[in-house]
Formats: sequence, structure tokens, C-alpha cells
Amino acid sequence: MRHRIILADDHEIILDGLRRILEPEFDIVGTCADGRALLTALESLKPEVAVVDISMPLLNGMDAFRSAKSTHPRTRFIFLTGSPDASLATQAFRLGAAGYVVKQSAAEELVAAIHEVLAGRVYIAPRIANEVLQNLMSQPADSSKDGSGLTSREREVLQLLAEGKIVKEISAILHVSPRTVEFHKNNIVAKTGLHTTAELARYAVRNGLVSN
Amino acid sequence: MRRVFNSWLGFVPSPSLARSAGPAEPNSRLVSAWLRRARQGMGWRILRSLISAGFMGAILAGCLTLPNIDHATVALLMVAATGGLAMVWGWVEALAGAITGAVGLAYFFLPPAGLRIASPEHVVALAAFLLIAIAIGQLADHSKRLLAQRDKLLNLSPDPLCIRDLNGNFRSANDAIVNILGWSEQELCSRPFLEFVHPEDRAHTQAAYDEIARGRSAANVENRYRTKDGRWCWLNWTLAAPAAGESQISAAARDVTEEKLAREKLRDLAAQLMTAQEEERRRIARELHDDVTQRLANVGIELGLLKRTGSQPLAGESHDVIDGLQAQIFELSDDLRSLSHSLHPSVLEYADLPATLEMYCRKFTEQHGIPASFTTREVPDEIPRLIAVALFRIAQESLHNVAVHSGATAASVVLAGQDRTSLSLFIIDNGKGFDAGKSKASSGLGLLSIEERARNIGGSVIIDSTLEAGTRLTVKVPLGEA
Repeated sequence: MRHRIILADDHEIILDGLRRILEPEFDIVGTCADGRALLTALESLKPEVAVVDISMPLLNGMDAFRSAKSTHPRTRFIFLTGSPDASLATQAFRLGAAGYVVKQSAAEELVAAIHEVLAGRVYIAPRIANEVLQNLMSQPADSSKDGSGLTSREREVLQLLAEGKIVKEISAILHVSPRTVEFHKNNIVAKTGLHTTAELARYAVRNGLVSN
Repeated sequence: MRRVFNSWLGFVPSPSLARSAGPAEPNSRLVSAWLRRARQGMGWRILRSLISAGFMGAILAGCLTLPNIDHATVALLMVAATGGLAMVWGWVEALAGAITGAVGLAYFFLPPAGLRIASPEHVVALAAFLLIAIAIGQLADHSKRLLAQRDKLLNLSPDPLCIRDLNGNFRSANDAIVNILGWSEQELCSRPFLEFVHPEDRAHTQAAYDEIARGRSAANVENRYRTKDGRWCWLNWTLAAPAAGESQISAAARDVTEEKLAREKLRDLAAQLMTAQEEERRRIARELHDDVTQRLANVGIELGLLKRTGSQPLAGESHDVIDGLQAQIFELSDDLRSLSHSLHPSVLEYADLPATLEMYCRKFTEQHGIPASFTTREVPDEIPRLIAVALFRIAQESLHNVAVHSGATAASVVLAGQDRTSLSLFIIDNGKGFDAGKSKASSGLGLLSIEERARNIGGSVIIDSTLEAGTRLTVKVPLGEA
């Protein structure tokens, strides 16, 4: 049995080209020109793979995927884009996309990508794979952050501030320049939304940084 | 101003005299015509002098009916009456009055009764009385003229001029104030002045008067006054401290309402221009992305198909040519993408603001070698597109400033929501900082466009910076109820 594919792109010529690439191997059950039509088509056609352009009228591909994710969890999404943007690709994979292919190399890559995705794996266009992986990996890098987003260094500074130390003293204790302490302090204010020393002290106590 | 001055003197304006001159008489028209002519020439002056003389005579006669009145008291009374005549009419009338008084005094008080001169002392005393009466008459007349001249000058000024007490309340106001605000001078003087000042301006207005009270010689204050028809009028005041021994503040103002409105309009125009520019860039970016890039992609697809499904196997050489063409297409696409991205952060159309900012910070770190971290706290899921674009642009411009001007070695961007009602963007660096108050005026377009962008989405900008302590720029934007 041939696998069921749906295509979504608002450019007729692209749809045409894609059809010629895919038809020898897959069953193209439908094509649509915008995100809304795609959502309707998913409902009635229940394809295994959707090959979707990101920029489309009415509802863009990314947003269509956002709403289709929960209603059609079995349809896997491969994004197809004319401009290979690693940031966008990263965003797509964070959302749970199965593949990301650049249009220009669709003739060479798309068939392979669909096979990979059907096999339950993920396909990233080689041209941007490196950057996407780096983006994805760098996300949880700062594992020292607590719930508020404070880094461990900022928590140290917060504790000293809560203990009533002034910037000069803190810079001496931590062996960093006053400027750096001010930087941490500004970050603490921004991240916690607290301004006064009293508020910071209360926050520090509540978070177990200082014992009253 | 003239009205108050006149009512203080109890002066009845002359036109009413003319009007009351017996309109019931058959030849009243003749009489009033004569009066009108007389008032313009010597005749009127003579008539008034005669009235003055009669007035003095009446006072003298009145005094004589009183028992035990000594002549010094009568003389003093006469001097005062002479001064009054000078103030009301002029020195000629006062002189007539004074002579009558002198003659009368001489006649009634010189012993024995009768018009006889008893001794040289009496002659000297009478002469002295005359001289003093005339001098006082002259002085009073002169001061009256000075006051009239002052009033005329004050009222001639197109700018508000006024005299206030030490608390700032009006004591008198010139015609310009009355014309601009619509309140009569009496209305202005009878109420505490702060009642006329915009509630938001009261604090700093009070502060300016406090400065004067503390001994500053001059102060400036700009505030809004309510006009009688309910508008607000911007006035820029210069306050001068009271002269030694005085207890009144002189105040001059300039009506800057038009200026303010023009500036406001200019700012609105700038905002509109910025929005239009952003829209236009967005349109061009879309055009590039949606049309040109797609057509280019299609060429790529066709080339790929040609390579794969050519009816006859392609010669190696042609294969290479197609590969080369495809490589060129990729390059073109990349260039188009960065061009379109520089025109408009199209990622914002598909990705949310936090994701876009995070990517941007990473890119910034790579480009400038200044690590820029990105943190979020309680950011709402839905951020209106206009706000997202504006905040992204602000972050872009601020980080650009950090890279170019601050000398910072680290930067941080924080996006924080507050109870879904507002959103704050912080851009922090550990650079050399600046004097926020001083450089605001001279900071050029960077800060200005940040402020305009913030204003455009109803937000505000706060810059916390001191020398050698880095900078924290905060943009706070209210979020409408979604």
C-alpha cells in the first residue's frame, strides 16, 4: 500500500513540482493553498504525512501545525521552506515537527525525508542541520538557573544584597569589578521584578538563600 | 488691571458724569454737547478746578462747625484732601483746592477774625501750608500717572504678566491673562491659584514657589491652566522673587500651548512614519519571501528533477553544470533571506517573541562576541503583533547601542510579564554607563527611536544608568485585555 501524503503550498508551480517529485512513490491524497484548507483536509483525509510550506495565507504553516498537533497527532509534519532559516527550523522542531526540508533541494531530499519520517525518525535539511542542532542543544545549557531564571552567580549576589552588603563590599567578596556586581544586580531586579533591598531580602529568605 | 486700580481710588469714570448731566432739561442736548467739548479742553479743567475749590471750602466750613478743632488738624485734613484731588483729577485741580484752603485758613484762623495778616510767622506758616499742599498734590498726581502708565504697559503686553502674593495667589493680572484664560481678573484674584492649575502640575508648580520662598531669586515653571471654557492652556512662567521689603512675586508667562500641540503633532507624525515604514518594510520583505524566493525555489526543484528524471541519463558534464546552478540558487536564496530578514523580522510571524528574542541574542553573541543571555518570566502566550514587533526592534536597537557605545563585556535581555496586564523588556549591560539625565538630550536617534517605538504601543521607557555601573533600560508596555 502506498503512503498517503498531503501537500500544502500557496504557489501552484511549487505544488506542481512537488507532485512530480512525489507521485512515483507516494499517494498524493490532496493539495491545499492555505493553512485553513489544510486543517479541513487533515480532518477528512487523515494523511500520514503533511508536507507544509511555512508562509501561507489565512493561516501560516507553523500555526496550522500548532492547532493540528493535538487534533491529528498521527499526521506527521514536514516543513518545506523557500528560505532556509535555522531559527525557524529550530522553532519548528521545538513544536514537534518531524522534518524540515529546503524547497530548492526538494527533488533530491524530499522523498528520502518522507521515508525517514514514516519510519518514525526526524529529517533535518543537511544545509542547516548543524545550526539547528546547536540551537536545540544550547537551550537547557544554563542548568544552574532556578525557577526565576537567576543564575548561580546572581543568587550569590542576591544573598549578599539581602544581607545588607553594598556593591563595593560584594565586589570585594566575590573578587569581581563593581560594574559586574551592578550588572548582576540589574539582572536580579529585572528577573525578580523586585526593587528595594527589603523586597530582595524577603525574596531571599523565601527561597532559602538567607536564614532570616 | 485698570478697573481694580480705579475702584481702589473710588474714581467714577468721567463718561458717567456726562451722562448724568440733566438729560431731562429741554436744552439738555446743548448742555451735553458743551460738556463734551469742555471735557476735551481747558473749560473742563477750569470747571473741575472750581469744583475742587468748592470742595475744599465745604470741608473747611464743615470743620468750623465742629467745636474745639485746632487749626493743625484742619491743615492736615486740607493737605490730605489736596492729595486726593491730585490723584483723582490732577495737579491743577489740587492747586485750586489748596489755594482755597489756604485763603480760608488764613481768613478764619488768624486772630482776630478777618482777612488781616498779624505777624511774619503766620505768613511763613501759610506759605508752608501752600507749598506742602502743592508738593503732595504733585506727588500724588505723578504716582497716579505712573500707575496708569504701568497698567497701560502691562496690558499692552501680549504675554501674561501678573503680581502674586508669596503663596502664588493672584493679586492682579494683565489683560493678556484675562484674554488667554477667559477668567476675569476678579475671578483669578478671589480663588487659590492652584485651583486653576492642572492637578498633575500642582506639585511642581508649588515646588517653584517654595524655591522662591526659600530665597531663590527666580524660578521657572511650566504648567497647564484651566481656561474658563474648560480647555487646558500651557504656560511657561518666569517668577521673580519679591524686592527687599516687599511681599509680592512678579510673574511673566509665555503661552506655549500651540508649541506643545505642534510638538505633540510632530511626535504623532514621527510615530505614524515609523509605523508606515515598518509596514512598508514588512510588505517588501513578504514580497521577497513569498514571491521571489518561491520562484527561485521552483527553479531549484525543476533543476533537481531534470537531474533525476531526464529521459536520457545526463552526461557527467551536464550534471556538474546543474549542480553549479543549484548552488547559485541556494546562494541567492540565502542572500534574499538575510535581505528580507533585515527588512522585517519575519520570524515573528511564525515564532513568538521569546523565541525570536532568544535567537536574536544568540546571533548577537556570535556577531559581537558579547555574551547576551535571554531570560523570560511569566510571559503571556499571546502578545499582539504590533507590540511584539516594537519590542523586538527596541531590543535590536538597544543591543546595537550596547555593542557600539557601552564597552560592555556582557549583556542580558529579560522579558517579564506582570499579571497578564503588562509586559516589561529589560536590556542590561555591564558597560561604562552614562549619566541618564544628561545624555538624554544628546543621545541622538538611538534612544529617541526607542522612546518613540515604546510610546507608539503605549509603553514607557526608563533608563537606569550611572557612570561605571552599567545600564538598565526598561520598557514597560500595558497589555490590553485579550
